[in-house]
Amino acid sequence: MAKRRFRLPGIQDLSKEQEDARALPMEGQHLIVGGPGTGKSILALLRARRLAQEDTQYVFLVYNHLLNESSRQLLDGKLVSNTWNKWFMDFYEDIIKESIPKLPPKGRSKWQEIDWQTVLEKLSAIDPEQRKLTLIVDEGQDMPPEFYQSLVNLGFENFFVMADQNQNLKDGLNSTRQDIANSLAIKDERNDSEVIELKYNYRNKYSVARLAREFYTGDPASPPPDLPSMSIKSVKVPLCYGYADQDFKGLIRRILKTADLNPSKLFGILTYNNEDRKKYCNALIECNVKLDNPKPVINTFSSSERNAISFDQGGILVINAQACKGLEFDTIFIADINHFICNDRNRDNTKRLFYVMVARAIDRVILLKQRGMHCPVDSILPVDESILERK
Amino acid sequence: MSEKSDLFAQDSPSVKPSPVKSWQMVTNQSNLFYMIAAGMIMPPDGFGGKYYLDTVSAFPGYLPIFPNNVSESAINFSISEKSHLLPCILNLELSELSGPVKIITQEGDVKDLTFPEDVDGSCQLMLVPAPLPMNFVNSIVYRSREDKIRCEKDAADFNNVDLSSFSIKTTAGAFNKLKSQNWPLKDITVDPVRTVLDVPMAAGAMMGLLLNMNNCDDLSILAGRLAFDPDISLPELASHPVIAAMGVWFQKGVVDTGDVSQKLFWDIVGKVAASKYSIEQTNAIDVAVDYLETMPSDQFDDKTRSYGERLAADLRAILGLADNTISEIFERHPKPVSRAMTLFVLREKIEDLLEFSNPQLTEADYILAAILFAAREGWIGLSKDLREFPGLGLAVSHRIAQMSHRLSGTQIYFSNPPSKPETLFRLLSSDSGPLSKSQNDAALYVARKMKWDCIETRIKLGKGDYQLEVTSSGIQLKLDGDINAVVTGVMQGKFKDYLCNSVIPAKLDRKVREILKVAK
Repeated sequence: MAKRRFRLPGIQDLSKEQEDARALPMEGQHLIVGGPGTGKSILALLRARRLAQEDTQYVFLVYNHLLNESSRQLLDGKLVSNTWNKWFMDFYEDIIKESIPKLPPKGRSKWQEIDWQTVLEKLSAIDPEQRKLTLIVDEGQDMPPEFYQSLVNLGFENFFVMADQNQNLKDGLNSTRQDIANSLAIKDERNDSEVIELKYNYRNKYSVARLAREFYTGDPASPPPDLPSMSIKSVKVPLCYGYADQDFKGLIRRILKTADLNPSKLFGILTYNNEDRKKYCNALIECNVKLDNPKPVINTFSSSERNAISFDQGGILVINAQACKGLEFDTIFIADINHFICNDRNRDNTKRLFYVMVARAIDRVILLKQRGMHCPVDSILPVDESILERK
Repeated sequence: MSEKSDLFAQDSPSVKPSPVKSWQMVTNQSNLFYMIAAGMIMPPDGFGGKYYLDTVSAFPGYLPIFPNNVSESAINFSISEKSHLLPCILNLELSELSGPVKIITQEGDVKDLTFPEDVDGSCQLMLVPAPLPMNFVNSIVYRSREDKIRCEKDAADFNNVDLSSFSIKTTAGAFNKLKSQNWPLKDITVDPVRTVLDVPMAAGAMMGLLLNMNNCDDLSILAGRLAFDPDISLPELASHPVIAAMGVWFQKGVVDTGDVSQKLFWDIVGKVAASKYSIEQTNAIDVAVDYLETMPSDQFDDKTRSYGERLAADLRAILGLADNTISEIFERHPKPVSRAMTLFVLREKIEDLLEFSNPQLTEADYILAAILFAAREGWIGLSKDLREFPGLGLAVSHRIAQMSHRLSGTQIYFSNPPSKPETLFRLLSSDSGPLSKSQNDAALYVARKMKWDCIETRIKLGKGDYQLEVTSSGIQLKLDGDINAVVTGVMQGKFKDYLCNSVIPAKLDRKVREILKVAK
């Protein structure tokens, strides 16, 4: 199977604003904010690579397991990385010599959040000491403010944090730009800010970025990427493809043929829930179709089904929408959009979710819609066919 | 055009001119890196929005070059835009440059002169129409050792900035002996000149890419030769008129031969190359497909326009939810231009193209695709891996800078163009008979290092009996008398097959060239 790997950028690939971030001193506290596709992750990976070359200790912290795997594999497994909560819990245990305190589970979920109040109290008994480890934090808005406060209190001095407030998917547990800046003592006042803002979209092709902007909910702390106007019709306008239930197998064949055209590319199929995820995954695995290349690797992942995922080769990954944050695919299929809920109460949340899903795509976005079924998200989809083509 | 200035008021106008020991430019490390990647010392237009203010911004289209030493204010100006910029002084070797330039006299007058005969050290500044080949940089001088180390680390963050071929100095001297001129210059204006960069950049990438592709196949070897020597006559390319038109495009920037198939393809190449320098943000694929859909009716017949529209529709369909594999698409589209366009929209990077294979793809299809990819990426888009072909950077840099001047009409001329780099296949082949001794030595070295099963040894014996003795320690051949000669070499056919189908590591490639050079 064809390899995908992190490629060093050419000098022409980084903009002046990205250069400003790349040229930041290796030590100290730095915050870089920007929307999806503005090149935050590549800057974080370049920083990690440079620190490794200089034999400086660092850890690359990410939001979840999938993002950790994806980042590590793109650097041929050489990245020192971890999920932020795993790393923090291990660190806490190491210095306090007891397990990290957690809050009781909420509702039917077994998940227990960290009891940050107790954590801060316990850590306040520790004398701060100068810690040389550099923390490179990707998707830094996903870590709670107490995470940063704890680390600063413990004497950590070197932070390189990348954040985008518009990609918060869990209310109440994230940090705002101001939270991070305050914790790290980074000046962030109007007209006098040390925060570097990345404004231009580099990852997403114009038409992907244009569609993503339709779902921007308007948080001024992370402005949407700038988009120049285009005078000619883009060849890769995102597509909303309607299919009848009886044509589902035909749709699956076409997805496989689309993947076969570019075997080194990674295709993401994002689903509303586990039922849809299994439906697509099983159909792709069972489908036999004549292709030029060996059938693409089809993988799936969920919190209860933790398969090893290869992000360093092409193929198809079927995951739930909530798990896609921070990941990068060449083409995104958003499966059966009819199933996503969109009403007056959650309209902004749904838009934010679509913003995050669409922005995962580098090159192409295809929405799949079951014909003849009610589709609540129609109300947030752009009508303009030059932004979203219908077939 | 020429006005007096108080710019040089600090220097006495009666200062006796000193002979020019070196010509110098001043810039910052970021601009320097960009120019190294682009292969040329360029005006701001060539930087695609990533130009940081330096001395070159003062006279659009010209490169300001200082005789002997630069001014302190010029250095400060060149790092004024961002705090992370570091100053660099470039020592230039201009012995191969000739043509019309401008000078600014000590009195602040602008004069038109011819270089080198009319120019001496009496000028305060020389303005040479841009660009210059990057290999005119004799040495790069940094302010300090710390700056040098930082620059080396910075350069390693990019895949196309290779400092290894430059002499790097950290002597403080160049930064101590500074002139006291003010910068930016005020009250001196020079009419701007246009610098053509899109065609040369694309051409440079074509040279590099075709050379990397042309180890064995006859057609790609011919295309590679044409790319480096566009005025050469190659009758063997008559059956491939679209590829043959590359020579015209390199010389004129357009193909005006009257052949519509040549015009269609090279118009697309031109549009794609120009899209990199367009003020409007455009995507190369969109530009190419748009051109197919909107071919001007006064330049193309109905049949060609109809072909363009059909191809464009198919390309749009391919990029949707696919219903065909590439093999099925190629079956429907046997023309090289169509197949090249198909690959152009389906693959993004040059590396992706080099990894692509399909049994239906002909060498002509592949060459046309490579030309389109080269136009999209430009020479700057070629990674270090593709550039490290021995002699390639030097040959390309010189040629694209000269091409830019030819197309811009500046009458600047660079003498002694470096010869076209040769592939190992060519260097280790003989058109007639056996390999020369040095070729044989080099071929043997490659075969041994690569562990190829293509080595043979001939032992010439005198007449007489010989016998094979098998002992516990091995086999012995017992001969009467003396051996006349033992010749070890490669089996040429087998060796060529291996060479065609293998990637030779750069280190080994360099060693082989060393062997051949030493032997000469």
